[in-house]
Amino acid sequence: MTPRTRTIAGFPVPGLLAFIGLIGVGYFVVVMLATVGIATWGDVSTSTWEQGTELARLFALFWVVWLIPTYLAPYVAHGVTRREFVASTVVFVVAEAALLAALVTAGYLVERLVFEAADWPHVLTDDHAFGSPTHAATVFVSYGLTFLVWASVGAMVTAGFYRHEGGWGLVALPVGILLLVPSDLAVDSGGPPFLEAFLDLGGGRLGLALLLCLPSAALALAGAWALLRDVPIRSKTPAA
Amino acid sequence: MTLDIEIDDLHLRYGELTALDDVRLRLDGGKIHGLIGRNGAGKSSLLAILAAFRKPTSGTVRIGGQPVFENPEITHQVCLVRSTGDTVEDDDKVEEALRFAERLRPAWDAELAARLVDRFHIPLRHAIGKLSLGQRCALGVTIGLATRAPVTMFDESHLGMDAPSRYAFYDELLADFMAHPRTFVVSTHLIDEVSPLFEEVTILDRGRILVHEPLDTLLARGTAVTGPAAAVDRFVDGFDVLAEKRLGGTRSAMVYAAFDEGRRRWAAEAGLELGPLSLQDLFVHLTQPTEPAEPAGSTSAAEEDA
Repeated sequence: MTPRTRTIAGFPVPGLLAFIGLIGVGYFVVVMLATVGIATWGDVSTSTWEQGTELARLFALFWVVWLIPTYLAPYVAHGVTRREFVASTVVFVVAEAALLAALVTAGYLVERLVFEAADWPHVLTDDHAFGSPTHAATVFVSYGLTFLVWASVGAMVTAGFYRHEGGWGLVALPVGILLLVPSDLAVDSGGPPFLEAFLDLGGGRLGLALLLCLPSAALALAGAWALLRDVPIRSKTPAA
Repeated sequence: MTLDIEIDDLHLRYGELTALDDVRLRLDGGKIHGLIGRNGAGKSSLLAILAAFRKPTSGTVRIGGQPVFENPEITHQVCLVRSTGDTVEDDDKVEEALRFAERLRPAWDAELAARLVDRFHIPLRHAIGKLSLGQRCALGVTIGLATRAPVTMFDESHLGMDAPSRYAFYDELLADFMAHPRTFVVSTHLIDEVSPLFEEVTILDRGRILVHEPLDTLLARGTAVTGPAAAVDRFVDGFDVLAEKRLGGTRSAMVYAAFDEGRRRWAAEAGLELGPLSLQDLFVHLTQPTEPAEPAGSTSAAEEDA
C-alpha cells in the first residue's frame, strides 16, 4: 500500500467511524430510555427519535470541525499534501453521512418495534421528505443528504477559521449558513419560511432536495479545498 | 538515497514584513548542513517552505530536481521537526504518535524509534500534552530520525532537551547518518555544541543568505591568537579583533583574518599559538556587520551567552 492509499484508507485515525457509530447507538439507547421516562409520567404521542435526531446534524458537523484543525498539521508534517488531506476529508464526510443516516434509519425501525410493543402511536411531528419513519430508503436518503450538507459546511467554515488571515472564517460562516438551507427540504428543522412553498411537493420534494443538497455539499467542499489548498501550517510555538 | 535542495530567487513576505529576500542556495545531498541565524533571521520560514508547510511568495524550491509544494512524490521524502515537535497532537499518547508516523512514513524504522524512546526515557503511554518540554523535544527528534526521510530537518528541535539528552541526540544523528546517508539540515542557536556535526554551514541574516560555505572554510576565516600580552598586541595590531580574554600576562585575541605562511612563522617565532575560532564567535561577528569591532578588553556576546 502506498502512502497515498494508506492516507485515505486510514483517515483520520483507525476506528473513528466505529467510535462515531458506537456513540450513535448509545445515543439511541438514551433517547429510548427518555421515551420510557416520558411514558411513565405522561403520554408518548409522537416519535421521540425524530426529536432526538435534531442533534444528529450538529454531531455530523462537530466531527469535521474537530478533525481539520486536529489532523491537518500532523498529516502535512508526515508528507501528506493538502490535496490528499482534503480528498480524505471528502471521503470521511461522505462515509460519516452514510453511517449516521444508516443509524438514524435503523433507529426509526427499532423505534417502530418498541412503539408497537408499547402501543404508542409512531407518527412524525415535522414535515419531512419521507412520509413515514419506516420508509427506510427515503429516510436514509433524506438524512444522508442532511448530514452530507452539514458536515460539508462544517469543513468549509472550519477551513475558513483555520486559514485565519483575511477574515476568511467570517466570510465562510454566512455562506455556510446559506448552504445549509436546502437540507431543510430533506429533514425539516423549522428552516426559513420561503421553504414552506416547497413542502407540499410530495414525492417530488426528495428529488428537489437531492437537486439542491448535492450542489450545496459540493460547493461547501470546494470552498474547503479553496481555503486549504495553500494554507500555511501553523506553529504552536513561536519561531526561534 | 540522497537528495539535493535547490532554492532560487526565493521571497517570503508576511504582509509588510519580508521574511526571506532573494534567497539562492544549493544544499548538496548526503551532508549534514547547519542553518544558523539570529532570531527572526528567517530560518524557520525557510525550513517551513522546504517542508511544504508554507508556500513562498515567489521563487522556486526543488528537492531532488522536483518542486516541493503539494508534490506528494517529494513531500513524503521530507521531514521537518519543528521546535517541540508541534505537529503531533497533544491528546494522543506517545505510542499513538509513533503508530501514526509508521502508517504514513514509508521508510519508518520502528526498531530505531523503540530504542530512542527507551534511550530518552519517553513514557509510551503518556499523553503528549503531559510530557515535559525535554521529553516532548526528545519525541520530536525520535520521530525525525526514525522517519528516515531522505531530507530530514530539525528546527531547534533539541533546544528544550537537557545536556545529556542533547549529546545523545547528536550521537544518534551522526550514527544514523553514517549508517543511512541522507540530507540533514539542523537549525540551532546552540552553535558550538552542534557545529562539529556540520559539513556545510549557511548563515541567514535578515532574510538573506550571508554565508554558505563548508565549515572548515568558514572557520579558516578567523584565528585565535594566544600568548604573552605584549606579543599578541603587536601581532594583531591593524587586524579586526572580535574579542579577547586576558589571564595574568597572557592574552588571547580572536581575530577575523586568515594569516599567510609568513605571518604564521612570525607567530611561531614570537611564541604565539594560533588556533581556530569557534563558529559561534564568527557567527556573532558576521551577523553584526554594521557595528565596529569591539574595543580590546570587551567580551564577545558568545561568551556572555555562555
